[in-house]
Amino acid sequence: MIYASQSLGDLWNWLLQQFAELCGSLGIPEVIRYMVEKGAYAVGLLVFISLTALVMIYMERKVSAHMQLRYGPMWTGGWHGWSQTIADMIKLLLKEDIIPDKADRWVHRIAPIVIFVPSLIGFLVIPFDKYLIGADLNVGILLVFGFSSIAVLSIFMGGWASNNKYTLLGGLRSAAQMISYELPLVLSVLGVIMTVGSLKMSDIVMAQKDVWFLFTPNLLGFIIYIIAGTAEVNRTPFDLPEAESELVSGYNTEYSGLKYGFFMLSEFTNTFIISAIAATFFMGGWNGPSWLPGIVSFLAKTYLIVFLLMWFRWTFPRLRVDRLMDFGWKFLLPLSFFNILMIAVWVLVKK
Amino acid sequence: MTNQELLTKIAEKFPAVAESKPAAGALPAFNLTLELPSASIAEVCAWLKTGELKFDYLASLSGVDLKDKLQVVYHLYSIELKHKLILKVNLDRLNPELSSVNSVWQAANWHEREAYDMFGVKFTGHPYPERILTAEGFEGYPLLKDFIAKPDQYD
Amino acid sequence: MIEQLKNSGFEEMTLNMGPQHPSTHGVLHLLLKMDGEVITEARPDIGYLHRGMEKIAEKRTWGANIALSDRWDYIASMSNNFAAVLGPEKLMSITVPKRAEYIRVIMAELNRIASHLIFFGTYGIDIGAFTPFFYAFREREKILDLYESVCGARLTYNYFRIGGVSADLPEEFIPGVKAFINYFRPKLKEYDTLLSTNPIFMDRTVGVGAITKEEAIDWALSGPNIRASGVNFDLRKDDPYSVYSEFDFNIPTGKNGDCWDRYMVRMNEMKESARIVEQALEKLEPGDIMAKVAKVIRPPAGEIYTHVEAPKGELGVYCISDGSTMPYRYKVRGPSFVNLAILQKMLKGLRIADVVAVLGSIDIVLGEVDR
Repeated sequence: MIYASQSLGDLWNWLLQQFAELCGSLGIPEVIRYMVEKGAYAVGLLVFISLTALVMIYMERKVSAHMQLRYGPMWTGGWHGWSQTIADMIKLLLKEDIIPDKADRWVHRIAPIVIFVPSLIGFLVIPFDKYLIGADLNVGILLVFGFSSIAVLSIFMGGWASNNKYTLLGGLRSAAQMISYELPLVLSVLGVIMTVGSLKMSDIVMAQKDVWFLFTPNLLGFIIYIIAGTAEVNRTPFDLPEAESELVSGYNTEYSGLKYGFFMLSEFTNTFIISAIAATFFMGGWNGPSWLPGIVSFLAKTYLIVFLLMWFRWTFPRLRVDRLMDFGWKFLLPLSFFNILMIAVWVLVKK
Repeated sequence: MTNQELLTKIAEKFPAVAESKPAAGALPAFNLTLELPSASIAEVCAWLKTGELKFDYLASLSGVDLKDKLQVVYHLYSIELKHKLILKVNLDRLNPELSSVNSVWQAANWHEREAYDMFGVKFTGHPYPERILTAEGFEGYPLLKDFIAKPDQYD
Repeated sequence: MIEQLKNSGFEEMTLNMGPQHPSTHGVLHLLLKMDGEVITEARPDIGYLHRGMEKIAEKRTWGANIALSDRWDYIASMSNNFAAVLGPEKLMSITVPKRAEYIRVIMAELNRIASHLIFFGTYGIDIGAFTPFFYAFREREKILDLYESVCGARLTYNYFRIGGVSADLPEEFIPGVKAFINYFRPKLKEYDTLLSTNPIFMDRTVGVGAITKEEAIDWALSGPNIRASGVNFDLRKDDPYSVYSEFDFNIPTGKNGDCWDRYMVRMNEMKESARIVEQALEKLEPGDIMAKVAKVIRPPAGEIYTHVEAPKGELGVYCISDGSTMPYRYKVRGPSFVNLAILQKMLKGLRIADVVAVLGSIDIVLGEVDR
């Protein structure tokens, strides 16, 4: 029954069952049923992603404003400028789309798509709630990291194709940075994977029914993950690819209008994915108090991490590129190896 | 060190250097002011810096257009001994040329470029004797008294 | 290494940084030759803001030149006013009334705090931290409010006059300054928590762009830049003008002359300026604010080089009078102009991220560089 269900996940599951029964009675083939189910989920996901982006941009503006003794947008739409983001989006849509004269036109055009699509795919395997997961793959986490590493390619494409020295430097920086921070990022979640013994997202969430991995020796992994994750989504203190005071705006200097919008949007979706995975892997995902719907507890944890990343952004200065490399390779990577070793011992002892 | 002591010290070493006399009716300068022939500037400055007087700080280098001649004025200071000195060099107005003191005080680099830009004083031996403040392709030397300022032309 | 690369078909990249770039503090143009991110040659190109101040000054009366002086270093106009009035006053042997002198000192020191606050804020942005900027401007706003109550302007004050100051302090000014000082002291600690001791900030600034003592003197740096290199050179002590010899204050100096030292010298200078303001407030007594000066200012023929310790360094004015109402020659020795020259030497071998760190730490105002 719907009334008995406490969460969106149960509702979704109930709907699926009803739909399956309906299809069975009408004799609709399995393939079509499957496509309709997944299609509905994808549409829902797209709506969710655009809403998330709106909320996160608004949140970023407000969080930064209040950290900086400002109010941020206060007028647009009435209550605390709630519709400012929508106005910004409309503005971005209406802006002229400029391609520099000597740019590599096609690469310049494709780059924003190449960065945006993988960030959408990442959403597929995020477990928002029990049953509420696009595809509960047995290689779930690998899919996310695999696709998120494509973002490097896009940033480099954008930086190179713009035929501008600042964008080129931004692109080069980002290639170096994201590749070197990918390693500690993946290695830091390896601890959790070893503890659970599965790459499947739902298994990882289920394993944290009693205690979050945050409160186990995996804490070190969490810290490494947050640092490497911040670098992975190019946010301060690791926002070197778009370092404003050095490279004007880095790889997206020459982008305008909707294409710039895609870069900006993907920054926020990537931030969300990184935070969502942190919530899934270390903070118990949709596990929470029984009176709270799973999705609420999941989103609360995710936004907590998002807030943490924003907090970083508006208080920390920016690292220098060589120090960033030193930090990644000489400190974070050995530390994550140590973390794996420690977790391995812990897992053995626990057995 | 008093001005008189400074003067005797410098005069000992360089007899050609003379104290600058203010023009008729003008106030005497507030610090020791020396006038020296343009040919000896590099030599005198090198000694002032490295010698016992230790004038290691070139506070300012200005060009002055005195209508019948150009003058380059050096304001020197010693960080250690805390005394001041003003050097003046008179130049021919039509062909102002002076050897650069950039090798003595690095600070002279931009000051000399400015003096060249504003007065057309050519500093021989300067590493990069280009205009500094005025726009590219600017003609004339704006701080000369006979420079006629034309309104900017915009297309 | 670079030679080998060049022979094999690689070439250096020339990067035009500025004149429109977020962190060149105005319209500075840096021509950088780079090998990857490492700079092999740097050449500052200035003059984009050149307004011919020295030429204009020759066609303005001595009094009008004070208004012009506001536009040199437009974030520390009080100090410019100070430099602009000292020369003619000395030529005309005017004795400025005591009260006016103290008011001048209060204004100049408050201006030093305001100017260093801008440095603090913008330097944070240069390094990548945006928030300090707003904190700095919150405090600076209070100083500007005080200025507004005195002279009606918030940026170009035109407050000093030859022989005194233009207006007496309003009633609320002295309590206002006292309240500000009390409010400001704890804020300095806040800044230290926010930025000064931040590990990333220190990583970016400590040891970067170090200037040795000898270099600093050779390039005639002044102000916090030379003091950060360990040279105790401050005109307020070394060549006291106005009533500075009456005050008890320290000259903060650095050791290594790197960006962090230059930053810390400025932070400490704000504390000392607050002390000077407090002492000046105590000494302030009722009295005249203007000396008896003729309506038409006509300094006798002569020449003088006067300098003040502006927030950026030694602000010198070399004026030559021919006995008329207008200066014959009015040379401005802007500290930013001289301090900036060393950039071409410092930048060699640094990375592009260090360019903004070094440039920000020198603290220039293009209005004064280009005049």
